[in-house]
Amino acid sequence: MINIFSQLMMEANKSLYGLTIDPQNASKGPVVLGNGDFFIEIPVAFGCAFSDLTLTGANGTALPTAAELIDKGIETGVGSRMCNAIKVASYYLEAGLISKPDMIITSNSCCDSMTTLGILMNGYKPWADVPKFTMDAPHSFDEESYLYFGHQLRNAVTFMETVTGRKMDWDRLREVCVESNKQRQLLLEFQELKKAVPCPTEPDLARQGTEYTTWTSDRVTPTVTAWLEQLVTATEQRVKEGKGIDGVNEKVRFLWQDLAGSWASGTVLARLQKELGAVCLMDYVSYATWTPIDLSSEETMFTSFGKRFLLEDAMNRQALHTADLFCNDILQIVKEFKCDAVIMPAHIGHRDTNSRMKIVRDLCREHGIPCLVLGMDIWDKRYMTPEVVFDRMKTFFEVSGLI
Amino acid sequence: MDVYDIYIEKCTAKIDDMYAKGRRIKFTQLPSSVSEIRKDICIKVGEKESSGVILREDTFIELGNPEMGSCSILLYTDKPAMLNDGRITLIGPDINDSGVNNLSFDEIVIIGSLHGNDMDIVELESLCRNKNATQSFPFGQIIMLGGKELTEKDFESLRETLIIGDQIEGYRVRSFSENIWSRVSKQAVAKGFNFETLGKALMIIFKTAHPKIESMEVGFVTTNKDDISILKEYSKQILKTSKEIVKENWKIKGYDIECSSDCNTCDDKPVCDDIREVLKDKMKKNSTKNG
Repeated sequence: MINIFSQLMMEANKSLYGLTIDPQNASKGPVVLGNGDFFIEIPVAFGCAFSDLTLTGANGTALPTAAELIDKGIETGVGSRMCNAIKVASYYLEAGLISKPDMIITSNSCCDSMTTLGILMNGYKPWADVPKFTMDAPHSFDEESYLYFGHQLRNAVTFMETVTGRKMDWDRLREVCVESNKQRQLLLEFQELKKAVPCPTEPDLARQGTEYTTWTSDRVTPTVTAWLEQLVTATEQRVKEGKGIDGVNEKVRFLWQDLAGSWASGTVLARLQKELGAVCLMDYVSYATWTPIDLSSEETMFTSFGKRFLLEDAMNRQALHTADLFCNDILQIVKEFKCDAVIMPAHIGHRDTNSRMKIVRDLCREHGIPCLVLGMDIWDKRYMTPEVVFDRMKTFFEVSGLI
Repeated sequence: MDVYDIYIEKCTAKIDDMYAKGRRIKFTQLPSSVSEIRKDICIKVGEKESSGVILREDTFIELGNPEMGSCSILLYTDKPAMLNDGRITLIGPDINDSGVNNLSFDEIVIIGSLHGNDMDIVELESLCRNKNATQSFPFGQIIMLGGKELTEKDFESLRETLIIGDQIEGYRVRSFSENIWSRVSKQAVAKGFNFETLGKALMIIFKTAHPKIESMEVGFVTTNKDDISILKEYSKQILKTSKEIVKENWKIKGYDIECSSDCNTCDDKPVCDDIREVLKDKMKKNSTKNG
């Protein structure tokens, strides 16, 4: 059914297509290449392109040639249990398919696969002459860590200035941060609206909105702010009318405690929603905990960046820190968003999550929350097919008495 | 269980100090029993008593928007006598006692951060009586609990009780990582919702969920960012203590939540590297064989 939400979805998807390899290679310079571990407001304010090789790889798994790309990635020698988004990125890199960037900025980031990709980028011989900067991300969340990582990001700005011979326009950075704060507030507002029962619209719009805001070439622009305003206003209207998602008779609300990956949303999750009335309220990317950037001074801004990066960005929040934070988030989401069940996709590349399966099972048992662990690959549907995932989840909902 | 006692003393001393200095402080004394508190509350408290969502247009006031300053502290002790059971303390303006809720964002920030005393509030009130915008207060919330049987093991369940969800009619805590950011609906304020109401609701929720609680005090701070900053300083120290308790509780369950092993620090890394090389060669051979 075509409505305002499907139109918004199409708009975001169009922009997200820009994250695949060809549009990324066409980015106008200077180009910073990274792997999902930079604070995006900085390159936007600096007026340079930021290409995220992890995302380019992840988007490769959404292409019709995904299986072939993944298999070619394996041939580059990365571990068989390595995340397939990284395998594809490795293939792109090793096959010489990525345009040479003007500089590379990486860090020891949230997952071992991404860190490996950073090492590969930094050691890629044809790019030996590309200036490189590596940031050190502490695996902790306290004021000292935010300050420390804020300094790393500030040093990255100096590095960018040295490489390009240009200076950061601090007023522009402030302007970008004001826009960014506006967008995060709107995303948080949308998240609030998902608490309504029934869920007023496609909850996946939160994930798409976050990706649109953070990763695409439209990021931190008034275009995205207008998109978010439309989304929130239209959703508020539906809450007032007490309407749920068009064509969905909501029976089950569940948390998908991982990334949605490249194929689950359009296949399993869409089918569960339509056929069983099982609505996926939240995943890693759509869970918003952002604090506005504190614009009081340069120091507070960078400390805010540090906090956003270490504690509030999707996957960093879940993968960098303790099992206690991970479990606490699950309880918070279940209670606040009235979820009936927790699904642990247990993506094979997420070893951090896989190491917590028993902990999460125990937690759910203690709190009487039905929990299912899948053990799938969010980028490669050959590992566990959409049909198998659907059947397992359907059976789980049935035996739990939820449908 | 005395690890938080020093902070209970600090918070209590801070309130006394502010009172002595003539700051506007409102004390309310409630009865001890939940049933007595329930008799005199203007909103419903319990599971599913909140409609679920408070829309922007239905919001009377936001408390603790991070741009305004926000802090939530949970303390407990096994010495119930340390607390004045049933006391609610409000430092700063109440939700509905003036036009302060109608301030524009800039006015609160500018004046509130410049001075931060009662004169500010008087000045702000006079400035904003005729304004219409729904705005935000800085918000500090201190919950102090006492019970002879409370131990470190109760930490997680007490912390979980802080997830209020839909239990307070007309009040929603927005999802937020460390602080507290909430909304009060116009409808609730029309029924008389104020900080006393919120304090009562919190006492009902905590005392009902944890029969071990023998005494409970709640404090709210709504003055300015500076006062919230003082609380935040306490909060940082308290968080360190809480992290230690959490770590120990996880150890009892059999997990060390701070283990920091990864491939780069693992002693077996050379073994894995060798295996990877062998696999790489094998794959190369296979792909040559298959043409």
